[in-house]
Amino acid sequence: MIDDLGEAATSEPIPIQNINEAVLRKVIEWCTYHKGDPPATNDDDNDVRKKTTDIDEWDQKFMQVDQEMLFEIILAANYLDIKALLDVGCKTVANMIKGKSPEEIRKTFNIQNDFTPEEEDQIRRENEWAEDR
Amino acid sequence: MPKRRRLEEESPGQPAKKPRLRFDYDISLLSDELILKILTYLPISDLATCQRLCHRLQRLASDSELWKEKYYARWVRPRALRIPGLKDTIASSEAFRYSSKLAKWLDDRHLIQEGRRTDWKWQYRLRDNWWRGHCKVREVEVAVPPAPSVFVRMYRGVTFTADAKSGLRAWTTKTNPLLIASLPFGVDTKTGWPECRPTCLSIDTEFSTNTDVCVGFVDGSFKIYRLDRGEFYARYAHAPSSNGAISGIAMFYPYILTISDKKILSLYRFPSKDHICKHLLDPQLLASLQSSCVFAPISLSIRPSSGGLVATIAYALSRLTSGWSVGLQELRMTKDGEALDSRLTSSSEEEMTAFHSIKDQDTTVSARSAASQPFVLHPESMARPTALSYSHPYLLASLPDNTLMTYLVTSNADKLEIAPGRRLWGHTSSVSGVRVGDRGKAVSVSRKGDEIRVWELENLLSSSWQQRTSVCIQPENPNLGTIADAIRRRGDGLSLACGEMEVEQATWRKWIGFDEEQVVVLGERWRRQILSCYDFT
Repeated sequence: MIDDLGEAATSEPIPIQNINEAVLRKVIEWCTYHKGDPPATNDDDNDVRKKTTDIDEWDQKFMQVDQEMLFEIILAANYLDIKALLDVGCKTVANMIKGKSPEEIRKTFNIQNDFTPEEEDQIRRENEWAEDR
Repeated sequence: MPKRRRLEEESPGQPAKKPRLRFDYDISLLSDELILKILTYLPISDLATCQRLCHRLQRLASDSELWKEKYYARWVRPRALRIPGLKDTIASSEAFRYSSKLAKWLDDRHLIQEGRRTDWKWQYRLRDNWWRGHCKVREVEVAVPPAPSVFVRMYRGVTFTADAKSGLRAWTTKTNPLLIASLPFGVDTKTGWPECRPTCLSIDTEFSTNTDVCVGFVDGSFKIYRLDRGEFYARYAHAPSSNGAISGIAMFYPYILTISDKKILSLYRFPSKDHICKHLLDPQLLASLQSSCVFAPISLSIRPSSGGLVATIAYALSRLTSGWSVGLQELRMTKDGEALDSRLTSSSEEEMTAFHSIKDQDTTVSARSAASQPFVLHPESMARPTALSYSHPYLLASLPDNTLMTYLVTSNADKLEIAPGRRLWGHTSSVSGVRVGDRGKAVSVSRKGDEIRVWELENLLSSSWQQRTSVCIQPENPNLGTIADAIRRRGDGLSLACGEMEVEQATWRKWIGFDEEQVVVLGERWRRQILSCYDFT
């Protein structure tokens, strides 16, 4: 797939409607770097790496992009079915959520709070038990 | 908290199908599937936070499959790793990595049974509450003076009580304690006093659809009641006996085991295949044993075993030379009539002797016993254990010096043996009740001081090092008052604290039982019998 993509993307435009050029370049950059990686197992249930949010150094640097790009990369990886890149993208987002307060997360991801204050208070109380875990 | 306003469209909609031309890049761009994938990387504290963000994330972050995986990782896999024999296979195989289809669920198998809809977040929380000892407490007054003793048992969320004045009653304690059925034991028309005082209570655990309750009485009789559609009716009444009051009873249909004040242990069997009938015929006495050295506390149980049934009595045992220990006596019988042993036998440590046994062509009973090492106690506290509970293979006794002793019992075709036990520290005052349940979970309660502890005996007996041995239950809303709470709230005024301490000082607790979701404690305060329900859901 990496090879296919590399060739196709560099020689002539192919119809990939949902991915813009900048994103595709990023995806190709990632694929080129990870070309030599050993193939991952197909069964995602059994993937141990799933348990940890550790990301290797190169990938961390690679993911230091604005949020627009980050989400586009995730969408592209999903669309093109590049599992390892999708994992890295999701881990990056997870790391951006970790340890933050709800208000900080909303700010970070531009999430609209659609709860009434009463609802929000109720949900907070329902989940209090899990907060300090 | 005021809502933040946004100028663009408000609804999160179906983001995966949205046009790409947007200038705000928020998480709502991603499909449910992708957000769930991100959420799998988060610890539960962050999942809790995510539920507070917006409706969509609330739904996604409480996804049952997500929590199923968390449940597995936190409770099932670590346990699998502790089980000897499994450990080696795990290290080398993938068998215990989480997989929605392939995971090994061990004793939590019942949660993934087909057709069962398990709310995994709820289950996780329940388990976590047990682990932390976090619960809500509610009370109900079950008897007022001059009521004599109340006996309590609980089974599948229903709590049964028996006392001379109010008879047999069933309560649900799930929300607010509520009486669901009651049946008086009968009153003597001449004196106005109850005809007969109950002396023990037990539940038949054999049935899945109905609940049968056995009550033993002071005149040596016993009765079996069935709870059916909110009503009790008597299924069987056994005639009074000269053997003294029934002090312990256990039933596993069609077998019933009783022990009397005169220390006579009797095992009966009802004629088979009439368990669907409304009333039972007279049972047959299979064996009867008498002992002179069985002392309270006593715990009777019957359980199925491979190829038969095992009735067990666990009791306190005193040896003049070495002090107190616990003893076990087992009666083994076959279900289908093939003899296990040709005659009634007893091990060399003969604690009980048969004085009467009836053998028919169907059934042969064999008996044997075992005893633990004597308790290591300070000479001044050389007294019998205060409470005892046995649920195979765990045996738990509370000692007069505020410690508990737990033992692992081996019972197979070749031997009955009580392994050297482990001493458990934790209670700071006298323990008045202990109970072992499924999977080696045990609870204990102190007579005074509102101290209830939860123990995981399996962990405690399988490894010597533990971060902690038990957790102390901390009710969330004890408007009933505890010393600890009074101290915490002393800012509210000393009188409040004193009031709460007075309530606590007047309370003493004597019996404890539990199921998957709650602990029930029977106590007495100002001569009123109080049932306290500690709800972990």
